[in-house]
Amino acid sequence: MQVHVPTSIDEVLGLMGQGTIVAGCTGIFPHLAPTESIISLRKAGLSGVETEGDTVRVGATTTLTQLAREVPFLREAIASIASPTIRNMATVGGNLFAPQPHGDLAVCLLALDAEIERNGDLVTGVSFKVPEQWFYTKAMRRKQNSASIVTVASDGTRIALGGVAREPVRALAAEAKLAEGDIDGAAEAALEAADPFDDAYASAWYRRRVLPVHVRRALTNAV
Amino acid sequence: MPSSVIEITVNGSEEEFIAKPGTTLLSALRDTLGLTAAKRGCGVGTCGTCTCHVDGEAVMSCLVPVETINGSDVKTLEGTTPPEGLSPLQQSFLDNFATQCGFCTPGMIMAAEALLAQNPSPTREDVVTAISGNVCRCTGYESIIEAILAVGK
Amino acid sequence: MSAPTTEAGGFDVVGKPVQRLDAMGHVTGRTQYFEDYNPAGMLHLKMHRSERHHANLVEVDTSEAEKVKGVVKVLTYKDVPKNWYTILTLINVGYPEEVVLAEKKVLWMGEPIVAVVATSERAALEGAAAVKVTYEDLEPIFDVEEAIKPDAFPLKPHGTNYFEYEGHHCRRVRLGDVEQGFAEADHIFEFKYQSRPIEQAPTETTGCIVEPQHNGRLKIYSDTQACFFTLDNTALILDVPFGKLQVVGGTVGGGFGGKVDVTVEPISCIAAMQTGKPVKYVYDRYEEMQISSPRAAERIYIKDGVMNDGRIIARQCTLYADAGAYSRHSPYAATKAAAHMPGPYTIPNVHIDSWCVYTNRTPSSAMRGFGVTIGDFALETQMDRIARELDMDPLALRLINAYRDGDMKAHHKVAEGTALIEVIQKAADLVGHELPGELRALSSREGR
Repeated sequence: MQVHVPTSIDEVLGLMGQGTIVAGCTGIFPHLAPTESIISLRKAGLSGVETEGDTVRVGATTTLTQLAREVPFLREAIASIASPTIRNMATVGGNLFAPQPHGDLAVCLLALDAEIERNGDLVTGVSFKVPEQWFYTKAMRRKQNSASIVTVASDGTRIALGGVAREPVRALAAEAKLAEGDIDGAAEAALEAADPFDDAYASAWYRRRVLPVHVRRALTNAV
Repeated sequence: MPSSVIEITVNGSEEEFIAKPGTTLLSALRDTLGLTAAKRGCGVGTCGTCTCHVDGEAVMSCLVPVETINGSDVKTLEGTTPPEGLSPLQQSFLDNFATQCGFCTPGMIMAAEALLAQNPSPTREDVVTAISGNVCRCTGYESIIEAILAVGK
Repeated sequence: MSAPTTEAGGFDVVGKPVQRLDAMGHVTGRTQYFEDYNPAGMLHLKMHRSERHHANLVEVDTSEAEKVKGVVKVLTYKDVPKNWYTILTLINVGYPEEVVLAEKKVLWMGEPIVAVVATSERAALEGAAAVKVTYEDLEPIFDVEEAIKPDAFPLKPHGTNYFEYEGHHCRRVRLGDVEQGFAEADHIFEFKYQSRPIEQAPTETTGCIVEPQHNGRLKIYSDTQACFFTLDNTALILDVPFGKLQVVGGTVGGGFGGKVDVTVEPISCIAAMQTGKPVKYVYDRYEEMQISSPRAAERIYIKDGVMNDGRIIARQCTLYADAGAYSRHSPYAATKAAAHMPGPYTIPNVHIDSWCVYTNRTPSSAMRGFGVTIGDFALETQMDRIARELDMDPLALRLINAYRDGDMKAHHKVAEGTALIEVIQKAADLVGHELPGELRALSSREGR
């Protein structure tokens, strides 16, 4: 087992295949087999937030805490993810790989139609435009630090869902209804995108049952 | 699988030691440096008993491979205890009966220290958020919240 | 002996905040939990566990585990002097029916089979993962009522799937004649209640460090909630005099009943004896949640015969406590459950059967009020349902049936010092719940 701590992207690319890529170490790291090597991106220089006009570019290893500091419209979504201690470690790039019902930031990025920046197989950053309006809601078993039962993110045009499928999904039928100004219709149509599962947080039945409620709530309350 | 030489500052003291690959900061603190205030409750970042500060931010030390923070500044509960007496937070935990089995206490105090460093006058909601990653199975949250609020004025 | 008082009759302690003795250690992090001790040369023990609910062990191959770098000892049941034990034999309950390490079969998923001792935790984990077990699967039993069917596969050496209480199939309480009571009743209410296992989830996981001493004794640093149960049971398993062992305990990072079994100390002692070195065996979080014994799941049937005025004249309770694969503390739980029924009510005809049943589930054991809390949930839900059916105030239903001094309890003891009526009256006041005059006038001191 080895721990690689490369200090540049080139060095990371040279190490690809020699271990599991980790950044914040909050998701994959604690579950690795004791013999598995890791490549930590912590010092690879991939962190930082740059804003140019209405476009935000976020480095892959920017922590959720840093992102919330720099991008106000995402604060509520980020505050719904884990605890402050974990947010100090967990990264934007890592969130893209968090298995559902985790990965609420990825749901937001889907709704923002964000672009993933890659260098080979390595995610180096994401960029998105700051939306004119922003809708977000996450239903949880408790108010903080819990995985998603249903997550809804929308810029008023695109609608992305978390918690209701194995991956974050776009609710295209709901978007069509929303374009007609039919929020109730959008709420019901969101079910077409859902393929929920049972887990310790909620049953598939419950997730389907409450999805329209949360879509309606999200779309009627701008952040 | 070569071990690495790690140099970190812990509670103001420069430490240099050899760590096997994949050694967590928690394990380095407890097993190598003999600083046992931080606890291993879950080892997967869900209980908060191992909470320490790395470069001023509260982190779960069970999730930090120590090789990745070479050169960093680490603070543990031992480092917040003054040579004589107690820190204001420690005294407040005492006065507000905010301990029971004591296993979550070091992590709770470190999470609270991080909050108060950034926000000296937190609201109750701020406090609840700050300790939302710290589990107290004796369910003494109310007295813990009171203890932290009493310090932040 | 006079009470400690100050002058003027004021109390020193009562009504005043008193600092906890251990709080100073807690807030400074200096309290020493067992795992804060780190003796030089300590070895680490990890377990290879059953991946089946119910199976015969065809072959247990430890050769690959022995080859793992850092592994110093691989222990099987052959290394355990008295492999068969049961915790409650210390108080003459049950007989040795649990194994420290599995011999020819496994009865639950997670049952320990091979212990691997190594110079590092990682090597021990790697070694435990390298053990190869060949299983011959057997049909598992997960349901308590399936388990007690006459044709069910017998899981236990005594040939049945229930604990035998002095020759009886369950704990029994009998008063009057319930069948006659049901016949005379205006209403019959029968409901079923089911709970699931509940994990205590202490923040500090179960574990111990055993350190051989120069005087030949073994010092056991443990977070057990039951130091003497641990010492005595471990000595019996090791087949050594009690004086050979010393338990250092009392500092527990949460227990809630989850740390009263004797699961880590015996095998750690054997590892320490065989290697002459300190050995640590501590559950990881997964083991704490999946392997340590939870509160038993219970299934409870309650059938009541009730008059139009709300008097319960017959109550029949059938309880099944799911012990899982081994007894642990569950025979005691089922006894407590029988003692707790039919609730704090005076009922002239009572029939209670409380079973302790074995299945292929994780062994269950103690947890805060075990054997009682689930029963209370069932009893009081039953009372609310009856009140609803009779369109009665649920407090009134309870007041009418509450114990009073002098009443004969189902356990053939005369009730004394009862106070349920006054407690309900006071509770009603506190929440502003109106009670009619005749209920307000009731007293525990006045017979019916």
